[in-house]
Amino acid sequence: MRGREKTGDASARMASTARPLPMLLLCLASFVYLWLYVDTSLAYYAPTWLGLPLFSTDLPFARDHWSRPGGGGEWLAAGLSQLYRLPWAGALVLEATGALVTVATLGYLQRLTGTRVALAVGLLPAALMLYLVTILGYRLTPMLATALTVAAAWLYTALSRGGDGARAGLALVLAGTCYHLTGGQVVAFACLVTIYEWAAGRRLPAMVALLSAEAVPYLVGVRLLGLDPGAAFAGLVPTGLSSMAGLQGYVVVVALYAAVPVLALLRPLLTHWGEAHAAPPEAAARRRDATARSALPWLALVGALAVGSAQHPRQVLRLEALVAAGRWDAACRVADSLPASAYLRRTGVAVLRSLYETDRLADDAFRYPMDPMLFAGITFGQPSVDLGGAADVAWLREFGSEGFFPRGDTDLMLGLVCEHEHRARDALATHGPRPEVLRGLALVHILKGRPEAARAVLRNLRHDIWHGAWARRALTEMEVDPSLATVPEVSRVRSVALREDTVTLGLSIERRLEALLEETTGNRMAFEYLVLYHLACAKPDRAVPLLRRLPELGYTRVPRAFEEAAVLVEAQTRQPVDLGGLDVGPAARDRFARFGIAYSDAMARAPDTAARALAAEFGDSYFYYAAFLHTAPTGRGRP
Amino acid sequence: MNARHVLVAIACALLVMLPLACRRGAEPSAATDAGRPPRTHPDYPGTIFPPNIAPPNFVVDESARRTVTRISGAAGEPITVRGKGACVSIPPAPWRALLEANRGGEVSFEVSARAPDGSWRRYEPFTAGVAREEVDRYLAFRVIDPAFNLWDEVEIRERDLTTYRERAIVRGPRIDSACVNCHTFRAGSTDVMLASTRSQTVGSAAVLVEKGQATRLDTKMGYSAVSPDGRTIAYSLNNVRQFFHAARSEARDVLDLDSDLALLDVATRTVTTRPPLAEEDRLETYPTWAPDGRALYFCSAPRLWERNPPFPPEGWNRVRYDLRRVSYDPTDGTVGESETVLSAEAARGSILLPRLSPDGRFVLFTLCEYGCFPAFQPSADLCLLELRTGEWRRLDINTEQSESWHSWSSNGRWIAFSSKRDDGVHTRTYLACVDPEGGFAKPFAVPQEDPERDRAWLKTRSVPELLTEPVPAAPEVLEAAARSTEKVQVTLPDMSMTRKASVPPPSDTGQGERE
Repeated sequence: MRGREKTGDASARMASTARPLPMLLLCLASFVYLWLYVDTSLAYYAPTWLGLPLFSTDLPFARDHWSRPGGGGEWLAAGLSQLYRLPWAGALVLEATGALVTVATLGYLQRLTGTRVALAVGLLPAALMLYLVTILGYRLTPMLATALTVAAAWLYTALSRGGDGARAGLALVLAGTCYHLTGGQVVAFACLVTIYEWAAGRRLPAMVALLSAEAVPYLVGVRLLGLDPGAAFAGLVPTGLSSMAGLQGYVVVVALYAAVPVLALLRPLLTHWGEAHAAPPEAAARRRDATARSALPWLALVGALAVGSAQHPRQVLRLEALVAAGRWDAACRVADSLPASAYLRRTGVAVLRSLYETDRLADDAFRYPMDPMLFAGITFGQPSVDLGGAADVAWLREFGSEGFFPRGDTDLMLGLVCEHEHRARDALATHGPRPEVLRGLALVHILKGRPEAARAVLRNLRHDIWHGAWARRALTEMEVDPSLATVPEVSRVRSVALREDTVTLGLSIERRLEALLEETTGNRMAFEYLVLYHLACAKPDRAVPLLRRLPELGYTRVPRAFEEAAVLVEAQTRQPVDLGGLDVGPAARDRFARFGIAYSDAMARAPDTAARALAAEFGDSYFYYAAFLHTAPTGRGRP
Repeated sequence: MNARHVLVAIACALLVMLPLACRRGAEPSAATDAGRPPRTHPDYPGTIFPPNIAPPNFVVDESARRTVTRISGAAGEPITVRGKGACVSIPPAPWRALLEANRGGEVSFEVSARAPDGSWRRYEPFTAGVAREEVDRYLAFRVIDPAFNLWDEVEIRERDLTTYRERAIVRGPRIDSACVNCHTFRAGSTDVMLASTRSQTVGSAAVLVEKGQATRLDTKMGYSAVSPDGRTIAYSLNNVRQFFHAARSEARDVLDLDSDLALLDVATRTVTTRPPLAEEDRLETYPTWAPDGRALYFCSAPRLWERNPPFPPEGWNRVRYDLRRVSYDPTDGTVGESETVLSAEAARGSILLPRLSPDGRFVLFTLCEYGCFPAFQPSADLCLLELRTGEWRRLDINTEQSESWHSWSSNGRWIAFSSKRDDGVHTRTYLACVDPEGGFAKPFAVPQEDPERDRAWLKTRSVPELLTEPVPAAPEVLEAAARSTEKVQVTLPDMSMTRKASVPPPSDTGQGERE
C-alpha cells in the first residue's frame, strides 16, 4: 500500500515540476541527430543488410501477422519502418518510440518506487535505442516491442485496483495483449508486474504475473494457435538483428530488453535516491535544471560513440541509398569521399553505374577503385578464366540475389533480360517480395510477353506504400496496352534487349557484352562496360580496337580513360590506333610521356615503392592501373 | 440542440438509410443483361467437378464492386452467394449438399455484378458438370519459388481436397534450408513414402517412411517409384545440371549428363541393377511401375556425348527419350529384357514422366521438344498412350504452356497435373476428369479459399500426387530423419553413375529443377 500512496504524491509533484523547454530541447536535439546523422533512408535502401522488414497494405498480410504472437508488433514496426524512406519521418518514428519508452519507464519506475525518478534513469532505454541506430541497428521491431512492453507494465500500475483477484485478472489480460503484440517480450512484462506487486506485498498477483510468462505463451501459442513450443515462446526475442550491427548490436538489443526489469530490481536504490533528493518546493527550479542536465551525459555518450563508430559503412550505405534512389550526382560526390579500403564490391558496382548515368564512366572510371570482378556483378556473367571464380552458392548469392540491392537493374538496362530475371527470381526466393525485386520482375515479364505473370507481380506491388502507385498505374495501362510500350524503362530495355538465344552458362562477361553490341550497335552502355572490362582486365589491346566505333555511338571526343588506353597501345605496338576519325588530345600524350619518365625513374630507384611514389600524380590514370593493376584514388586528379 | 436531439437525428438518419443499404446488397432486380458469361478466375465454366471437391471460390474479373451469385442444379437447394468485392466465396456445407444432390449432373452459376457506377449487370449463366466418381481426398505437392539457383523455403505439403486444409509433410527450412523434392508414394497410399532432401550442411538424403516410421538412407535418389506391393523402389541416379538461356522466355534448362536406374529392396536395403536399367551408352530415368508390379516402365535416351564433356555438351538439345519397359518378377526380383513401348522418333519428341492408369490400360506421359525436364519447356504436353493398341495422342487439355507432373487417382477417373497455363511462370495444380475411354474433361485449378490471393501468389505448386489417405508421419519425424547422422548404408552396384572417378559430381547449384 505504501507504494501506491507514494505514487500519487510523486505524480503530483512530477506534474507540478514539469517544465517543457528543457525537454523540448532534448527532443529537438535527438530528432536532429536522428534526422541528419542516423538517416533512416540508409536502412530503407539497404533493406537486406539492415533487416528492414517487408510490409504490405494488403489485408491478408495484416491478417497473417496479427494471427500470431508477436505479429502485431512486427506488423506495426514493419509499417512504421516504411517511413524510413524519408529521413525526417524515420527520425520522427524513432523519436516517438524513444519518447514512449522514456515516459513509460519513468511512469512505471515512479509507481514502483513511489518517489521521483531521475530523468537520466528513465532515459536509459532511449539512450540504448539511440546507440543502436548509431551503430546501424535500424530494426524497429525490438525497439517498439520494448516500448510497448514497458507501456503495458506502466498501464498495469496505473489501472490495477482492488483485490488480488482483480489485479491477477488484469495482469493476465495485459499479458495476453502483450504476448499478442510483442511475443516473447511478455517475459519482460511479467517480470515488471511481478516486481511491482511483490514490492507492494501482494504475493498472489505477483505469482500470477510471473506464471503468465509461461502460461500465456503455452495456452495461447501452443494450445490455441497450435505453434511449436519454440515458436510460441520465441516471438520477438533478440534474434535476427541486422548483420551490420553485428555482435555489438545484439548485445545492445539484449540490454534494451533487460534494461527496465533490471532498473526495477534496483528499486531500493532508486527509492533511496529519490527520497534523498526530495527537495522543498523552493528548490524546484534548481532541481528542474538538474533534471534536464542529467540527460546530457547520455547525449554526450551517444554523440561520442557516434563519432567513434565506423563512418565508412555509413558512407557506403549512403552511397548505395543515393544510387537506389537514382540520385547519381550525389552518389558520385559520396564516392569521392570514400577511401578505397571502404569499398565493397557492390560499392564499386554502384559507383560504375553512377558514373555511367552522369556520363562520366568512360572518363573517370579509373579515378575510383577498379576490379574486373565488378563486371560479374553487373552482367552476372562468369569472369574470364584468369580471374577465377566458380558458380558456387556464395558466388551466386553475392552476384545474384544480394547483388540485386541497392540497385539491381544495371543488367536490365544493358539488355540482359534473362540475367535480370535470374537474379530477381533468386532475390525473391531469398529476400522475399521486396518492392525493387517485384518491380524488376514485372518489367521482365512485360518484356518477355507474359502479361499475366506481370499482373501477378504487380498485384503484390500495388500494396507497397511507395511503389504501389506505380504498380496500380501499370495495371491500368496494361488494360489498354499489355506491352506497356509507353513506359520509358520498358522501351529503353526493349530497344537494346538481347534477342538471339544462346546457352549462357560459362559464357564470359565479354561474350555477353559483345553479344549485346553485335545485336544492337547503338548500345552505348554495353560498349562502355565492355571497353572498361577489357581495360580492367589489363587487356587494352582488346579494348582499343573497339574504339573505332566511337563516332557511330555518338561520341564527339575520346573519353579520358579510353584516350589513355589508346596512347598506351600506340606506344606498345608503335602503330596508330583507329579511333573512327577522332583524335587523342595532346594532354593525354603529354601525361603519358611524363608517366613514362616517372615510371622508369621510380622503378629504377625502388620498384617496391614505385606505385606509392607515382600515386599522387598518376593514380587516377589508366597508365597507372595498367602498370600496377590497381588505381590510387587519392591521386590529385580526383574530382 | 442538446445531445438528446442529436441522438434522435442520428437514429432517424439511420432508419432512412437502412432500407437503402439493404437494397444495395439485395438481388439486382433492374440488372441489364451482359449478353455473355462473366470472365472468372479460375476458369471454371465447362469443367467437371468431383462430387467431393471443396467449394470452387472464384473472382469475377469484371470490375465488380459487389456480386450476387446463384448456384443451382437440377436437384438440391440452390445457393445464393452475396459477395462484397469481386470474390465469390461459396459456403462449404451447402456446396457439398448441392454436389451430392447433383452427382452425374451439372450445376449452374448465375452471376450478377455491380459496376463501380452502381449499375448491375447480369451475366449469362455458366455450368460445370458434377462427376459420379470422387477424387482421392488428399494431394501431396511441393511449394517452391520459381527461382533459378537459390531458395530459402521449400516444402512438401498435403492438401485435403474436400476442404482448404493444408499441412506440411516436410519443411526445407527445418533441414537447414534444404531442397526437398521427389516425393513418391505407393500407388496413392501413404504406408510407404519416399522423399529426397538436399542440403549444403546435412547433405543429400532419401527419407523412407514406412508406416509412419522414417529412416534416412545413405544414398541420393533422383526420380523414384514404389512398387505396388511396397517391397521395391525403382529410382534413378542422375548427374543433373541446370543451365541458362540468354534470350528465351523460359531461361532455365536442365540436362542429365548421365543417369541410370536401380532397384532398392525395401526389406534388405540392398540395391541391384542390370543393363536394361543402366546401360553404359544410354540415359535411363523416370521409372514407373505397372499396376500389377510385373513390369517397370522408364524413359531412355542415347547418350550423345562422351564422358566429362564440356558443358553443355554438343547435342544437348537433341536428346530425346524413348518409353521403354522391362518385365519384373516380384518373387525373385529378376528383370527381363527391355522393349521400346513408344520411341521418341515415333512420338516426334522426348517422352517423359510416364504414369500408368490404375487399370493398366493407359500410359499418361509428357512429350516435349527435347531433354529430360518438361517443366522448363513450354512445348511440354500431356499425351495418352493406349497400351493395347499402341495408339497415342496429345490431349485436348494442353495449352501453349508447360503441362507436366501428372498423377492418377486411385479410381482412374481423375488426374492431377502441373501447369503454367495461368501466366507461364507460376505452376498451379489442375484436376481433370477422365472418362472410361480415355477422354479428358476441361481441367480446373484446385480450388483455393482466396482465389484473389492465390492469383498474386508468387510461388509454385507442383509435382502433385493424389493420395487416398494422409501421410501418417508428422513433419518433425521426417525432418529429424533427414537431419539424422544415422543412415542406413546402401551399397550401390557398379554402373556408370557410381563410377565416381570418371563422372563429375552432380551440380548442387541446379536447385531450381523439378518445379
